[in-house]
Amino acid sequence: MSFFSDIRERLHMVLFRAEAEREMDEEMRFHLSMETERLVREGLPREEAARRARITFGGLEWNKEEVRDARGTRWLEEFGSDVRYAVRTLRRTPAFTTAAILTLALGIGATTSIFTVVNALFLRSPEGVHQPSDLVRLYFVRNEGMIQVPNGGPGSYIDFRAIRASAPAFSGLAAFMSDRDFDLGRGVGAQRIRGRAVSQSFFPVLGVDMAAGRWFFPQEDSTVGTHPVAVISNALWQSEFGGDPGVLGRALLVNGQSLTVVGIAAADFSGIEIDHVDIWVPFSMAPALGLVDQGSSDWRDNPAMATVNVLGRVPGSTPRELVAQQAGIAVRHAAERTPQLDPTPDVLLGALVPAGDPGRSQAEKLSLWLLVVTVLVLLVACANVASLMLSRALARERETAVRSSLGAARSRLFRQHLTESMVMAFGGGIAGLFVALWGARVAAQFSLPSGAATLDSSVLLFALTLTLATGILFGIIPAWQAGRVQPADGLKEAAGGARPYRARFRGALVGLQVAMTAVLLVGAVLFLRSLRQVYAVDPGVDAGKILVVSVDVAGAGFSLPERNRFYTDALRRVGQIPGIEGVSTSAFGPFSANRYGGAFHVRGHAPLPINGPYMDWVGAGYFQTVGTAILRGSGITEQHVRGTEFVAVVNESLATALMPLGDVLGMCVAVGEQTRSDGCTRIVGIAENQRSGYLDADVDPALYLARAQDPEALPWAGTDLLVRTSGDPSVIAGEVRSAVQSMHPGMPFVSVQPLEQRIRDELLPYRVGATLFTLFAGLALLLAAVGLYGMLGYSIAERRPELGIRKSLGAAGGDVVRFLILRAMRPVIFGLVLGLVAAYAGGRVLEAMLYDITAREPATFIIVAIFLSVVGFIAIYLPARQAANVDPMVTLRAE
Amino acid sequence: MSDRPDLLQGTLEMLVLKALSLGPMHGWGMAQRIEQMSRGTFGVHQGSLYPALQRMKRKGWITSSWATTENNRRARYYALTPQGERQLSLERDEWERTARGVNWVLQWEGGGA
Repeated sequence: MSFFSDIRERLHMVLFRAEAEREMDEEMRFHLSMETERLVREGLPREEAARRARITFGGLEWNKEEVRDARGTRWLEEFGSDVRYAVRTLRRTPAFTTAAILTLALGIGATTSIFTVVNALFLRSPEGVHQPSDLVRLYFVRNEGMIQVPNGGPGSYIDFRAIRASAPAFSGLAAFMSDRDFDLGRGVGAQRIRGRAVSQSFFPVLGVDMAAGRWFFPQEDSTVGTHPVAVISNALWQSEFGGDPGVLGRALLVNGQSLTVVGIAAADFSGIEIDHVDIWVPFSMAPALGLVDQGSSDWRDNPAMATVNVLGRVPGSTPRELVAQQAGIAVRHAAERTPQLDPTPDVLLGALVPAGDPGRSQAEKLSLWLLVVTVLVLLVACANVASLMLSRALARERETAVRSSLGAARSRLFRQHLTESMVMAFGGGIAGLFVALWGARVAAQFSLPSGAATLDSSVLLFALTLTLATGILFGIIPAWQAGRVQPADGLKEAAGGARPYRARFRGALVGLQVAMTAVLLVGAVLFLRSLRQVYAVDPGVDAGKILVVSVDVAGAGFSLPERNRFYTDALRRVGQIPGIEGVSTSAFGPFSANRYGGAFHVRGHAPLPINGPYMDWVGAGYFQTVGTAILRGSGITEQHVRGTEFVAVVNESLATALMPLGDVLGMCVAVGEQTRSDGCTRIVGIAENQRSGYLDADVDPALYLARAQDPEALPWAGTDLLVRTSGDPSVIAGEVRSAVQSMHPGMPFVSVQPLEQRIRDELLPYRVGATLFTLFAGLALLLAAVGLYGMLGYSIAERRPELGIRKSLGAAGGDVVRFLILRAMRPVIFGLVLGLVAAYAGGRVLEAMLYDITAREPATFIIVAIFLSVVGFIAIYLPARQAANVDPMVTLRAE
Repeated sequence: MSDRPDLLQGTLEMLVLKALSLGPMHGWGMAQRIEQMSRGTFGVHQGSLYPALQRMKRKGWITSSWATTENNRRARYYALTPQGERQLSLERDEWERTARGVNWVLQWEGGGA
């Protein structure tokens, strides 16, 4: 094809330019000698023949130029020489080049590192999936009934079945539950893996290959509980079984169930989300593995089991609207027969990647915000480099003028300067990739999966685009100015005439930098103040000192007496570990996602119009262990055992609600079964409020009962051990785990987690926001200060003669300093005002991410204004004082 | 040379294609051949052959390779590609249509008023 022959030919010419030149030479010499010989044969003397041949040929050099033009590679050749020239020039000023490249590397690196995380979390298609762009996720919208998901969420198996039966636009439809922790093995070697229950169509629809064995047969996804099979990941196969092919057909003990391994997924597939999945089981095994309640009826017929995620394959040519329509009709049709749910559900389509979710998550919003923030940092960096380049352009004006007067075309000079910017941008871009990799690793520390810090092609493309954009952004104006230099002006002895347009431009750059820095600082201050509010919250427990030990005793098949013996033993064993200050138990514990609200009323009174109360069954010393104060009365103690009068402790909220009915302490209340008989539970204490969620403002009424008085109260809810440590709880976690894990050969996996883990997700956005905003604002501040310092240095250099004259005419050093500072502060003040106005206008959008403060409190703006002015003043004062101290004679003599 | 008209722009390429349709040849040979075929009607400004060849190579109409002449000298030989052959027949048609049109204009005696 002619397009390719063109490219090939041009490329060849660029790569083999010297060879092409030589061949062209040879070819033309051959031509001339042939022509000469022909003329000699016609009878002309040799010399005359050669002359004639040259005339017939036309101008040799001219024709060569024509050939070179015809190669179509001239611009490339010039580009090559421009690049070489740029590298040479940049190497002559190493300080400038290093400063510029470092600045760019920080800007590009910061932006790319955030993009790396955003990409990994929300944009990247999972590996090992065939044609991921043809896959869609279905989000079910329900506005009424038991399950309300206005932004779309998972559906029920009924929805999946309905769409599969009557939406032919899908070439395949698969369903899966969200991934869960599975226990693998029992006893000392027990461990935790990630697993997922899926429909039989899951791998076929995704197009995942098998490394060995097979995927599930259709009948294995049919009758509940009868097909104990599993497919494991390649990673698990390698780590657990050393890649032994004999694992196929072997039984694994998963959540206490024996599952036969029938297949191993291909190495490149580790699930469709960023968390790696180790094991897949058919939906039919979900109840046996405890993934859904083991009710009497099939969970797949229960419309309230809205835990089924659906994804479909849609051939690229099928219009998405048609697909969504068909799915919508199918689920509405199914809803007519299931009255508990919204009668008119709808289906939204999203991409396979999380960014396709119609309801944006808090994390995604935060990430996009951080991306905006880093772009601001990058802009500050660009302004800085542009400013640096302008200072240098002054020093190079002579050179430019000489080149221009020697006949360099204006466009060529422009191109040359732009090339120089591009070379710098690429230097910054490459260094920026290293910064990005490091930055993404740091960002990944904030509980992101380890896969978050990988550079893939889209990250590289992003960095490349940024590099090109920054190169143009900071290079175009200096380049344009270089193209504008008048040879005559430039060659004149630079008599210290300040160039007003340039000074104005630099002033504007500094102003913009200050403005953007002000915006970032406002953001940082807001996030920091918000974080301080978050930390000032008193959750009513010492979250930082507690470990939560959970064992699935019900799943392990312990009988009731065995469970009680286990808890007694565990309390004793853990209590003996050095560094443990206290151990107790609680059915739910602070900040638990699970709560239990049972029947409750005060003897002789109607049930109270209150939410709850939520009930927890706790062990002796619970309040002391978790650090919740007993305000009146006593806590649950060793004396509260079976056979004694039932006792309870209420929290402040419940106490307040009970107050109108009389003295709370000693009050006789009916709890659970007691509400139907005449039993009585005596309130013995009032405890400080424990927040249910760390940041929830309102605390629901809560009632604490003594577990030892009624160990069978909640047979399905295991009891957690709460361990109070004297130091950092994570240090001792391993020891606690192995102590409990080794208590019994059939012990299921023992989970030991700091209590803080439960509130981590809640705190994460605030911590990430505060840390990164502060980091980036600091970076911007540093860059802006350097820019300011540089600008003043430049304008002092430009005004040196003028300053010298002023001084020699009797101006005091202080006058000169004042003069310089006044001039330089103007753009700072201008930028500050601009930035604060912008931050005031835009601050509202941040408010959703702040805790307990508003974005427009004047304090924030005052802090930023003072801080930025002081930093600006220092950046100006230092060079100004230096300039003022210079001996006037020295500067004047230099002229 | 000056007594003979210069080639029309673009015609040179057609003549080169025609010359090469007879077989691969080097630049000088081509110049001779074109002059010969045109019975001396127009001479090629010989040097201008080479930029034209370079352009045609980029368009993919011809290829070049180094070979030895019958006198045992190294020369760059050009040959027609299939694409070049198509181009030749295209240009030939185009030329004939143009020539016919020009002829009609020149032979116009004025019919009607």
